[in-house]
Amino acid sequence: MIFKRRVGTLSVYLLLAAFAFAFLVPVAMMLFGSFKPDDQVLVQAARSGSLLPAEFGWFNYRDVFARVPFTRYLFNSAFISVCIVAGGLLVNSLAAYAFARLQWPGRDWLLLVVIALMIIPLEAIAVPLFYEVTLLGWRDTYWVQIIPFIANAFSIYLFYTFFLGLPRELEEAARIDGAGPWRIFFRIVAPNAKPVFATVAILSFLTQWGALLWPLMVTHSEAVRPLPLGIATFYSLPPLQWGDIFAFGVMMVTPVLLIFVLFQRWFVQGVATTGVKG
Amino acid sequence: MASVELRNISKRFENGTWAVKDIALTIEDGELVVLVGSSGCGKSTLLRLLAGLENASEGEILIDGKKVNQQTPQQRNVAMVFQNYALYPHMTVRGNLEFPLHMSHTAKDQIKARVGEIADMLQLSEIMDRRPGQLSGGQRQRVAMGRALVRDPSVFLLDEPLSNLDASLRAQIRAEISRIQKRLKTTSLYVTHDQVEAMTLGDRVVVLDHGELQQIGTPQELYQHPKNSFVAKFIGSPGMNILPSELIDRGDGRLGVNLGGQQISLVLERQAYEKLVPYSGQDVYTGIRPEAFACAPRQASFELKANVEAVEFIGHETLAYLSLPGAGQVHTDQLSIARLPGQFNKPNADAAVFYIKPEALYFFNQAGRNILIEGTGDR
Repeated sequence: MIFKRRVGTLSVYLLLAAFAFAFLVPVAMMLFGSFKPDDQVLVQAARSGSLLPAEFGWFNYRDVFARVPFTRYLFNSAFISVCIVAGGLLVNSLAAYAFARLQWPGRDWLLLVVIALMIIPLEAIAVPLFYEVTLLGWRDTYWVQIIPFIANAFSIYLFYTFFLGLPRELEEAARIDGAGPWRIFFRIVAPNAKPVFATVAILSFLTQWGALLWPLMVTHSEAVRPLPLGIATFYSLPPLQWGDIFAFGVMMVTPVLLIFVLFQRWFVQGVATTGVKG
Repeated sequence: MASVELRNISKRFENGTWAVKDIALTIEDGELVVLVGSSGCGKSTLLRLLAGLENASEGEILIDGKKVNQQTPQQRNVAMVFQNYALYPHMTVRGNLEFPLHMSHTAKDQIKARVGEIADMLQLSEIMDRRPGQLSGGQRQRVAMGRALVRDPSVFLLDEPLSNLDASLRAQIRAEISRIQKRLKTTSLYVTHDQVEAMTLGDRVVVLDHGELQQIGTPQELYQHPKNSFVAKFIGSPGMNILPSELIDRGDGRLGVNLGGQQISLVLERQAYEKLVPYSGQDVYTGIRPEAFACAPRQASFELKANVEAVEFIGHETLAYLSLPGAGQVHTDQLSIARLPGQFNKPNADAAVFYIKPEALYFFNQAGRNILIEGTGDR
């Protein structure tokens, strides 16, 4: 019996280890490859199976800074992502609150539209959207990369479901205490909805950080282009140097990792309902 | 402080159901009125209407003689304690107490003074920097009361504030609520489903059923003169036994009652006799309070034979579950209950004899109205 259970546990762990290995290998390859001379990046890994660099150096990183304006790309990506995340948290949470709690004509119908919008991918509307921003004269700016992505159906939906689960009495108590809808939202609802704010922030940040198609369509100068377009230039900029690409990749992923570590405490915190019974 | 008047208040929900119907009620300045009824009877809705959390479909709400139907809760200056307390989880106790004062733009030094005063009164000073999640049930309850009282409301509303507490704490806080209310003399409306709470707390008690007002009165009035069989069954612990029976006029102020096949002869006062006589030959309901049963004969008492189906000994008294021979099937929900002092043992014989005084009987017509007080019109 005990033996059987142990074998069961062992096989589960082996399976998990195999998955973890499969997921970690590309990341490890990127990390170690970024410190290897170009000729060793692929060759050595394939030949000896060893990931660790034979000779270690920062040369690929220096190369990246020499070949492309990395800091510019980094700033652009950070600026665009932060604007979208900050604006998105405000706009989408307010919209969701209106859907979840306020009474207004057409509310249920519009909510259906929002839910339906979730299934439309950017690729499907990229061309009409492109015409629209061209008409507005927004091409090759920050705004063209920010404004279309602030309002987001999926974020609204996430906020909406969370707000529905918040105890209504908290808001009623605040109403009786004399707070209006804005105050109720900012002083009572938002502070008790940290987990969903964190979730939406992480999800939308990740999406924007990796965005490639839209910036490629609407920007052409390096002054406003984000990191994914930066890394893409390496593929068209001969000679093809994998070490540089890996170094760029490491520098592109690190901020995301940091953000995730920073927010994950809230991410896993769960629903805060401690003020209400129990 | 203020008086409250509800003029023919009705609330109809969007799906067409009436939550409360045509309620007229006046609460005097400084009075504590308890709204009692089983769950879903509309008592919480009535409270929410008064608070301004819901809009009335019909009727007028007046606070201090001023119509407030269109006013916000803050303009009405009402405060409310919620069943689940609804403390703000992200604020400390101090933050919770200060919040209503911040909302009314009270000056900082006044906020400090007022919060200190309330904290002293409710013994919260030790826990001012804790968050609701770190408090016990009783402490949360006191914070909720403090938050309601801190801005000196005209009307104090309590929605089943004790239902989340255990029995011993409930009695303690009930006493505390009563003490604070008497001290502050704030006009209060208290909602509960627990009739013991209603009877012990209320200056007056309002009984609601299916959104309709059944009776308003002092606890004594409700207990001694229930207007209908609903109130009779609801008030009292356990409630009144209601038995199908038939009245027979024997003339000369004497009335026969056929109670489950047993003939009981009553000699009544002229007034009672005259009210009951029109119902002779008809099916009525006879009500007997559990505490009206006695094991030994008393002056002028009549005998009632009953089978003792079960007994529950609860220390100072015993509850005996009775079925009347010939009164049909025995279902637990149809058993009558007698409340007998001390210990009472289940007799070996089939039937036991109980003694009841005629004046302890109540009579209800088919519509459930108390025949003896019908037409007196007190409400």
